[in-house]
Amino acid sequence: MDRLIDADLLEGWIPARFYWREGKPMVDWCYLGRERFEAAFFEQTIGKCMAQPFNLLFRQQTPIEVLKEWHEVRPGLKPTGFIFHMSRSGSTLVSRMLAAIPTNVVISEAAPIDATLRAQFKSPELSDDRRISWLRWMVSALAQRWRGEEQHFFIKFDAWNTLELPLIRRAFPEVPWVFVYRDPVEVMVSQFNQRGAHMIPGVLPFGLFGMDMETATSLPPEEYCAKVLAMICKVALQHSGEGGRLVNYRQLPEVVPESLLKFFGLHCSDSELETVRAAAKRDAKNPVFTFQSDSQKKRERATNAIHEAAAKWLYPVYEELEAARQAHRAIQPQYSPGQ
Amino acid sequence: MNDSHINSRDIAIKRQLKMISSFKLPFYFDPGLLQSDLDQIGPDEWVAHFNQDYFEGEWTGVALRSSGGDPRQLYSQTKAENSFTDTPILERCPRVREILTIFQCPLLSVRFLKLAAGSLIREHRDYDLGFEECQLRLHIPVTTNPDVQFFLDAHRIDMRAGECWYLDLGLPHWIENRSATDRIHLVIDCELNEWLRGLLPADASSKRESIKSDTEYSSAPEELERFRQAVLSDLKLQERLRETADRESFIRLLVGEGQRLGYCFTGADADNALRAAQQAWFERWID
Repeated sequence: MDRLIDADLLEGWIPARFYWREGKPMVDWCYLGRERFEAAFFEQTIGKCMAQPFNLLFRQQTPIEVLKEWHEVRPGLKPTGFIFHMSRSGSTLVSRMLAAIPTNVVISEAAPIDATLRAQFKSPELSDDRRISWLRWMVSALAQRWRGEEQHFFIKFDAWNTLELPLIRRAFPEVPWVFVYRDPVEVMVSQFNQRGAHMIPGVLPFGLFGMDMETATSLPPEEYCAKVLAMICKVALQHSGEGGRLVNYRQLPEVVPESLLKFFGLHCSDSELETVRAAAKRDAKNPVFTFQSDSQKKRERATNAIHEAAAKWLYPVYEELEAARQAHRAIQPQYSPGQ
Repeated sequence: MNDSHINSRDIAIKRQLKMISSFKLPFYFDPGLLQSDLDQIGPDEWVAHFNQDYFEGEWTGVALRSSGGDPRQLYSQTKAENSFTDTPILERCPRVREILTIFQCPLLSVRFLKLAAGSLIREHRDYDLGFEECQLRLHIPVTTNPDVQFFLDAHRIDMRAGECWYLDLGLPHWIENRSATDRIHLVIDCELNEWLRGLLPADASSKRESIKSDTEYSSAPEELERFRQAVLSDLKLQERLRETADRESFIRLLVGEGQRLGYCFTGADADNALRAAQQAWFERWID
């Protein structure tokens, strides 16, 4: 069979970007080599690679079909687990704790995954089936054993990717996933301190949140944020019965060694559990600081507008998430402290 | 169209020159006469070279032409706000004035540079020569001796007093004066023009086997792109080019490997390509 690529030539290369060129989906590859995903976010690791002059000058661009071939030759690791979240809710802490075990790889908020999931905004004709194939290929190209020691592969998605949960579930029906959420006011205070891409109308396609430009830009910012966050939470809630696990920020960090590892099918030794717990002692996004719950501080800084928007849009779904989480725990305890 | 033709021809000439790291021009200037000019310069008129980090011992100079006309201005800047003019010291140096009239090309800086006995200049490259503007540096040794070792791109260049040399000093070079006497060169920066071109080995038949005619040259960015594609299908070459994370040595490596395989681009071309790649990377999310 004719191949677009010589398999050897992509050994050690990683998709850094999914993009469109003249209406055609393309992949931008960067040489990763034996680099480990140590930084909190995918983009930081890629950025580190791109600081090398070779990598800067020798990126290579291929049509998406090359991903398919690569997927056939080098399928990579099967994903062990997915992390979804409402943003500012501790998901980075979860991913850092998982990544503390050297044989685990966590790809966090990878732009090529997000762009693949959003491909239909560039090409409205695109079928879900096609997008599912692209997603599988993209994930497999990211899930390579870069260093040879990798055994478990996790993906932490961007917060808004939660809206694509049904499609992601179709692409990977057997992969367990968690949704991390947090008290609405605390999330909103954090967002208003420094807003994420999904919290500013127009940064992401308007259609992503089912709003047109007029609606999105005419809403007060607090209402816009609360509505978007509520949408994300609702999708997670709706599908939580399908291989999902709800995790409240308040359960962090102990819930990771106590039950999430087992939930993802990992059987960890005591020393590995210690490593995971130790990772929680560092601030996830800024490892020089230790992780400390800042709920109280956040609530004190909430404005009236935040309180009102949260009460109107977010608390109802938050309460439902809480109820679902507790009901789920009552029926199927993942962990009993005595064991 | 005419302009672009001249431009591509110049690029071709420059590229030929770049492939020649050194070339002795057909001149001989009596070092004894130049020495009498040197005698007109007082010891306190020599100023330390601005590249303080590069040398050990004593490396000094006097400007005969400089940006702004200051004899203490050794920096041969290429985009000077002040134009290059004679300094008062040139008036005292009749032999240098005479030599300069021989050079029928625009002159930039003209300096005496002295590497004192027992001093050395560590490996470095001169980035002040804007090759894109066709600027060349010529060396005329005035006092030197066999114990002065001048290495250019790891090859020793044996320059004798009175000779006139074109040197591609954008390549790594270092100099050791292991002798007991000072080594002094007259260093002339000038612009490439028809006259100078006629003196340089642009003639394919005589000096270089592989020089192509002007029309056969693809532009340097095209050559670099062809080389890039070749690298992407050559794992060994990739591995070699990945050996360094340092931008300067990477460029050196890239140009060297390119030349080895017959791709003609310069360090400046590679530098431009890297800049463009960086910009493209930063702007990758802009549709």
